[in-house]
Amino acid sequence: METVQSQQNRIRIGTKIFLIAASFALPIAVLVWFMVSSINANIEFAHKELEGTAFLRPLMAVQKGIHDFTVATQGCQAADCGAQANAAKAAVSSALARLEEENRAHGESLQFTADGLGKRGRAGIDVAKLRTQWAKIESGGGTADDLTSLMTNIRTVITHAGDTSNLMLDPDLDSFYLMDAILVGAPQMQDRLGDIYKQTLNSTVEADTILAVDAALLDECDYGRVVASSTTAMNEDPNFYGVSATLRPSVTAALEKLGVPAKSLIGLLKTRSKDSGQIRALAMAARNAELSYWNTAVTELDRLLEARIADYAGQRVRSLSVSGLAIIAASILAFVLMRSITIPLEKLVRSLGPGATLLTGCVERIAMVSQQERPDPDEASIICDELNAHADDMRKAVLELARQVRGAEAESLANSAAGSRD
Amino acid sequence: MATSPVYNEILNLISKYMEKDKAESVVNRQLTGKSLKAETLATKDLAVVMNAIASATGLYVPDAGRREELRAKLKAMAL
Repeated sequence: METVQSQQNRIRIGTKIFLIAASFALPIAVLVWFMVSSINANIEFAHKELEGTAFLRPLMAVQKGIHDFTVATQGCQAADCGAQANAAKAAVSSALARLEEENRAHGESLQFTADGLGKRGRAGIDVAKLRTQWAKIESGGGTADDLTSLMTNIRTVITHAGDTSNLMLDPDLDSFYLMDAILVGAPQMQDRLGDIYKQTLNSTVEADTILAVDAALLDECDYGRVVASSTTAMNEDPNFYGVSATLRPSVTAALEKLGVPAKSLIGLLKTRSKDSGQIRALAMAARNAELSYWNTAVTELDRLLEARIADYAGQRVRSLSVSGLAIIAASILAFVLMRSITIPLEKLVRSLGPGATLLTGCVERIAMVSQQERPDPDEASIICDELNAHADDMRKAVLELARQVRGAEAESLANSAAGSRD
Repeated sequence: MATSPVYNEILNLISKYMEKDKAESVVNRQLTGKSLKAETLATKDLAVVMNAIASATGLYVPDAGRREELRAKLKAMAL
């Protein structure tokens, strides 16, 4: 059986050098693969955040519609309360239909599954549950508790979408703080404004106290948080994938529009005003402005995420291009080095082959010449010349080979050897 | 300067029996020995140098039959 060594000996030296170069290129290829995988993971991460914002859009519209429905059906004193309720119903139904569409597209990915919800203690709180609860309320069979339960479940679905879409784990400060305003501050503010509206319908001491507390929470935890998070997002924006052309102007304008009713409402509540009509009007205006702010902010968040994805995609192209160029450069270098080794070896092989023939031929001819009575002097001279010339060729080839093996040291050794011959 | 046609003809013939580089250096050595040049080598010079070329190149052809064949062809050129 052929041994491994004899098989290895059959491989040409050029092939061996190529295999050595390839064996070094292999770990580089593995590292490039890991690097590209890491970039792809980051892109996938941002894509999932986009899935989250797509899911949250109709969800926020559902939340707003249910608040509007509550306003139109509980203590409504306007002339067109019925029309308001019907408009709110239509808005909720339409938003729920869009939510169901998003759920079909992203529900599995966002873990709105029995397993995904169950693991997080949210079993059964999914889009289908919201639809069932809303159907009961819409048909007129729902109570105030049913509405409260529906609102609570909407907040749970918002939280779940935020958790599973990676939005809560956003790695960049600008998008993180915008996400905080969108996912935590704004929905909380929407609920608080709805609660303030409801409390104005009761003229009890308890309701007054709750309103006072709500005013403080609205100021510090809701509106304050939305403003602080949005401001931080705008301040951090230049530090992540360049400045967004639209973030600061559009978010600032939306905050200003929200600030007018929100600040007036907070101011009014802090004075312990009993003007419930004005409080309700400001609460409604603040809710509308808040939803408008939310839509602006979520659009800007999508833009930040798209900028991040584009940056990572560019990074992937650059990494692959530079790695490819480096491999091409390394291959050229390896080829040049390989030729610098194989060419002297080929020369040596070319010298040694005829050398053996020459020696045999010379020996035969010298033997023939020595048997002749009158040997041809030219013949001996030719033999000597050819032997000398061939010896010179061989010496040159060996020196070239020694240069390749030992470097400059071989040259100095050759020079000293030549000196001693002279 | 370009080599002469006669020189090229000789070289082409010898290259069939050994490597061209080697053939060139062997023939050039014999020309130098006879004070001839590759650029000006003419048919009339062949009588002077052909024996030496045949002897020298013959040293590099291992097969006796092919060696004789080369020698015969070279001598025929000189005629």
